[in-house]
Amino acid sequence: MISCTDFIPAYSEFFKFLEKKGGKQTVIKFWEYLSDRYLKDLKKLVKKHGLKGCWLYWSKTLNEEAADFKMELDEKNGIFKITMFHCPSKGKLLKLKHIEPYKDYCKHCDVLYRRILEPSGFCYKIDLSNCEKARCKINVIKR
Amino acid sequence: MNKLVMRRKASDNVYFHPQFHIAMNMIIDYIEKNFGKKAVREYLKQFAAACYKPMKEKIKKQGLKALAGYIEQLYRKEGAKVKIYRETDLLKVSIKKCPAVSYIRKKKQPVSRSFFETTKTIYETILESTDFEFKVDKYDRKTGGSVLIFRRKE
Repeated sequence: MISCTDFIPAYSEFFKFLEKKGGKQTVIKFWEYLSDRYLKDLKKLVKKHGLKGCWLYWSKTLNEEAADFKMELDEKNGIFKITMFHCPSKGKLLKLKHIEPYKDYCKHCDVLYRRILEPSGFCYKIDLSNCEKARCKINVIKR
Repeated sequence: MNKLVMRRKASDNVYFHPQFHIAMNMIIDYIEKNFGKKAVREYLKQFAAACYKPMKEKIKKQGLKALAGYIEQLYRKEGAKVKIYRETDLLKVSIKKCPAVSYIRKKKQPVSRSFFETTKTIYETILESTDFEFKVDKYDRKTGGSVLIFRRKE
């Protein structure tokens, strides 16, 4: 068994493995596959609760992952925001000096969530410009 | 329609997200279906060689004591009970139920056929080029319960 606390390096190494097998497109194909199967909870929550579904979903995952974040929900104006001050996932990879993170590691958050949220009636924006410092911003806006 | 705000620091929570067992199971299943069983072992070898490099070095210096400590901590974090028997050159670990398999089953997901390799290939790779060898003495595919034997090579 691989401990769930070792999953992040396993995930990053898997992206490298896939890219070696079939290039970047193979990695993206897997992200789409994972999004369709692994994010069913998010899909159900936004279907049932609308934008608040994002709040409910990330309340659980970000707390379990011990992230350093601020999450804001403004239902009246149709905006949900995550400001990630220290991503536990990328942060862990940067901390493990013996591991080289997959070069586009943070892009999985773009593909996985966009694939769920955009067909559900939201505009998904992710700012990965500071992802090398384990920081990012996500905005989900009701269309 | 109130505004909701949640601010958390890393120190407010304990890092433990068991849902990652589901993702790991999906990865194993995906490799097996798209690239074959051999590729599952190939990937796990790549991961173990990279991730557990410091562990391998520790085993080279400290012997099986280092591995025993790691395994004990790993299962304690996952909330599972293990029996560990250790002599200088032997380590026997009995795991009644694998916490990953239990979690995957609890979430009503099928456990991938090659999931067993996340134990077998990982420890084989960690012990490669050390003075020790590894074998899975027993493995119950239903529960993931197992008996793992680590010993000095003859």
